[in-house]
Amino acid sequence: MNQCKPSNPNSTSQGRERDAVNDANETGDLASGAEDAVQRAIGSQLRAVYDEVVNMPVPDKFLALLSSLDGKTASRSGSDLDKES
Amino acid sequence: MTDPDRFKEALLAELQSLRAFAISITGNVERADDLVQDTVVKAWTNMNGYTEGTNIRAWLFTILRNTFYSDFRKRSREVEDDGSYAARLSVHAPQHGHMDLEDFRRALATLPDDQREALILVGASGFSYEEAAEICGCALGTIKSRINRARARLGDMLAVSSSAEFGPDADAFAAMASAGSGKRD
Repeated sequence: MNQCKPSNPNSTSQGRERDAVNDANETGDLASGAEDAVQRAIGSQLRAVYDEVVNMPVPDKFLALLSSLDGKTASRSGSDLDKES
Repeated sequence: MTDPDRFKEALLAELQSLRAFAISITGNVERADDLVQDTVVKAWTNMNGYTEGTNIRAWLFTILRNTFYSDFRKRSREVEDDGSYAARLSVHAPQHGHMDLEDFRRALATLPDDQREALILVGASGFSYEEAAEICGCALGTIKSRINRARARLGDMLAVSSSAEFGPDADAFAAMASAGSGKRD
């Protein structure tokens, strides 16, 4: 059932994930090979579907929002804040 | 004190993930964007509540999820039409939508919200079970059981749909799926 180990390289907790996976994988019976195949298919389709959404471009308004928040923190003027929100 | 420049950079790096998670729980890009916007403002205002060196994605997802359940769900119910729940993650990028994933999208959309959420957090967003439990504010065992039930259900549904579409060849898949599901509570 290794497919539930996320492939995401940004994850910061690989060790703990592996423990969790092992906890959830304690069935170890005859069907485990078949279950692995089904679950691998589910895991890869889930990631494919989700990655399509993750890879959608982020609208510029969020970058503008962060700049205006940042500007407000830096200058304390607050005058930048209303431009983009 | 959290350094604003580093915080901003980290926040920027997580925007795509945040937005994807927002889409998966709202099922609607517009609402997801409102949710992300509120989350970004809250995160920025509370940046000192973030401990540098810890997982900022988990911290942001928690804020987003809490915002959704406290503010958004109430509001969205008022405008929710019945069809839109089926839209969970069927919101695809115009050029990238793959037809062969349609069955999976449909199956995913029929899962109960809590099961789909747990599955996405662990199976697609890169969180550990422990982190997912923290994000959802529930016990580790609850997350594990949601994920097990989600996987069993998806296995059953996809086995049925593939045997309907591809005939006898899919029987092996169906047999595997039923062997693989239902052994754990």
